[in-house]
Amino acid sequence: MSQSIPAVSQSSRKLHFSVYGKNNSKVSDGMSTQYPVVDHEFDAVVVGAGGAGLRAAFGLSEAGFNTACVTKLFPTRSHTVAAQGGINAALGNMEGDDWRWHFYDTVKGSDWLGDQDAIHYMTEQAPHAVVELENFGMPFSRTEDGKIYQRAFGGQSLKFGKGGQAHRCCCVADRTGHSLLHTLYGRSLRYDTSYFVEYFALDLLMEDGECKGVIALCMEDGSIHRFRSKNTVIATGGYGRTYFSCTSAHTSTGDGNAMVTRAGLPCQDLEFVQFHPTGIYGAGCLITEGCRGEGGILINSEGERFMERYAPNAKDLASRDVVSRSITIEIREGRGCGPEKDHAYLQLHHLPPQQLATRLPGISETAMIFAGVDVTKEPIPVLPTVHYNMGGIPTNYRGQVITHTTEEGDKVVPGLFACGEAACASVHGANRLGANSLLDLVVFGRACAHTIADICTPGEKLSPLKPNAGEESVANLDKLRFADGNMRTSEIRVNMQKTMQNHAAVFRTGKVLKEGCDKMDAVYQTLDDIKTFDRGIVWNTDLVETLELQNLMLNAVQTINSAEQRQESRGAHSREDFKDRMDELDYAKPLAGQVRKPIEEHWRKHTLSTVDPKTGKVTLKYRPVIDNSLDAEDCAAIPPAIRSY
Amino acid sequence: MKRISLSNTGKVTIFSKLTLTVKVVFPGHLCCCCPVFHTMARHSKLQKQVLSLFRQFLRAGQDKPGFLPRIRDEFRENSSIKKTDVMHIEYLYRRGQRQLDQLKDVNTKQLGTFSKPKAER
Repeated sequence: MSQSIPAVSQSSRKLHFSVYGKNNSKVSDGMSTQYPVVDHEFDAVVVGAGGAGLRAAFGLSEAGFNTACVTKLFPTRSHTVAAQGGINAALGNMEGDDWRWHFYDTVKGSDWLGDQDAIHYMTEQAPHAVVELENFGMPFSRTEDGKIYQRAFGGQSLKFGKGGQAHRCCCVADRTGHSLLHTLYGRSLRYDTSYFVEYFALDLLMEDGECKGVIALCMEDGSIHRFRSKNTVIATGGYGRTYFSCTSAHTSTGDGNAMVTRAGLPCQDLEFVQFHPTGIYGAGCLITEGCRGEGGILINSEGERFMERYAPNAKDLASRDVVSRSITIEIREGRGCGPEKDHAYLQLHHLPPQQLATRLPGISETAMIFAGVDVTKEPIPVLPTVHYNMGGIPTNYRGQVITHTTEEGDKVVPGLFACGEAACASVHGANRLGANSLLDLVVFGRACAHTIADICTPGEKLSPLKPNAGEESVANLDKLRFADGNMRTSEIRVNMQKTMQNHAAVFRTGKVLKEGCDKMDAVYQTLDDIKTFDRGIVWNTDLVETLELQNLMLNAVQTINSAEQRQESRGAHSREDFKDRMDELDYAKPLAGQVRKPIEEHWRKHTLSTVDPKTGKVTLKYRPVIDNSLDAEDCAAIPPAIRSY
Repeated sequence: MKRISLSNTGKVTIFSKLTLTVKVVFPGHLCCCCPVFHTMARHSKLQKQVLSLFRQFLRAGQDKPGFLPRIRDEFRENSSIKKTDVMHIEYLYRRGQRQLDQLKDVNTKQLGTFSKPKAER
């Protein structure tokens, strides 16, 4: 393989930029490849139009900013639409509730890796955010007296864990994400945001460490567009598609994380990938945690409700990582269901059929279509499936993207913001509680809009940008469009997905992870040998899939390398060779007399990973967790403790 | 007096004995996208729509650098499509309308180009 000429010429690939029509004498017409570039100027650009992107976009328009929303999918097709469970908020409709108890549950759920100031902000804003959504017209399920129906969800408790199961997940039957996204979309039409639908964002326009906009490819006519603005918000979602089996859409390709990586900025905590306990066996479609909230139970081949052994108090409503691990252990110990004993059963037929029909109509349908199962008679075959990425672009609690140096600590990157699954605020830490993600979207989408309104005014003059900004992105596009190697995009993608699935699954071991890192590095190198077939520029889906593959690869290498380095078990990252959590103090024993370990010797810290896109080499740094809440009197920070349900 | 008969080639027969070949400006028209002199054939509805779009583009692109040459290039390139290929023309027309809306938007500022000589590949 090394003997053949490399697929793409390594000679200088300099592209020449000029205003169309002028200075074209150097380049003879008809003999060159030309990419027309349209320049736009806005006050703010939002990349992504899911829950977080739409909320940020119309929040900015409401504040008077001239906003553009660049999205590769029509807004109502973003993956937010598939969310089923609900939004947590301490409204107190089912029983007395307090947002500080929600704060405690979220901090504990994150296994003390979440930044408590961001969690304080999110849980305090939660009731207000849900009421705002209700005022936008979101059709929540209702109780008998007309208040918003709240169901039980995993990891939610009363009185700081001592008061039993809390009912604080506000839901719309089992299609909350669908309602949320359609409500937000409908609301957004009232404002004059400019939507650029089916525009694939290629890269950030960075100059002197400041973000000055985005460059995107219009899929419809193949033109390049540069959106210059003082504020860029990234809300591009997660990267579930790095794994072979996931609950995410095919479009969840981590484009925002990759854009930030190529800009030389770090991504945070990418090793924390959540495996949702109940994805349908085979298809991978999601069965919401709400089923267990309504009373569904998980059983093994012996018909035993095995969660009683692993989480005596919370049972099936323990935190997702605990449940996923329990199912995996049951399967490994031979008590799996089915002919190959490789999955578990989710039983719902003991619940009254009217309850199933009113509260869980969507999953009844899903189970029938994808598993051929009638939920009123038979149990659903389920398996832990990749569902959510806790990690992403590091931000502070206001939504501003940050970098970190040991000397100066956290430093804001001017002009760049992030929210939603793409960001890592970090409210979810090492594990996300169910129904906190939709809350994260609306709260931090709004927070980004507020922060921008605080620091900027509409109509501000833009700083100058060099005329050939975005040249590397267009050169990369050109290279991929004419790529003529030996391996197809789909082959490389499947290799990456299988490597991740086999080497970075629910339970991870050092040796297997190391092997995975080496295999992933080899797969990364095969990107140079890629072959594409469509040479056109109009609706070139081959090209777009290849760009998405490049983005996925950057996410995958960071995920597996960070996982290999983290030698402890915390939240969703569980190592068989390092079964315990390693904090600065040993919280299993009495604290008196213990010496606090320095940050280099313990693992209660955020991972910051950067990649050299040419070689695929990952560099890791670490950043301390923020342990103080926004207001110590109003809401005391929770000191770390042993996490058991 | 014999009627003056007009023909495509510009021959005018005034008197039966005298035939002059003169250059006459016909009531036909010059198609602005291609160097063909149409005469009796009026523009079809689709042709009129395309011409109207072209004029709107030229007006919209006046004050923004880089658009006018590109507009002319695109229309010139697509003028070679056969008149009968209506599907293609309508598709380009719809796309052109969307692009025109974007051009008219106050936030669109200029058109540049990244170009690369083919010889280098």
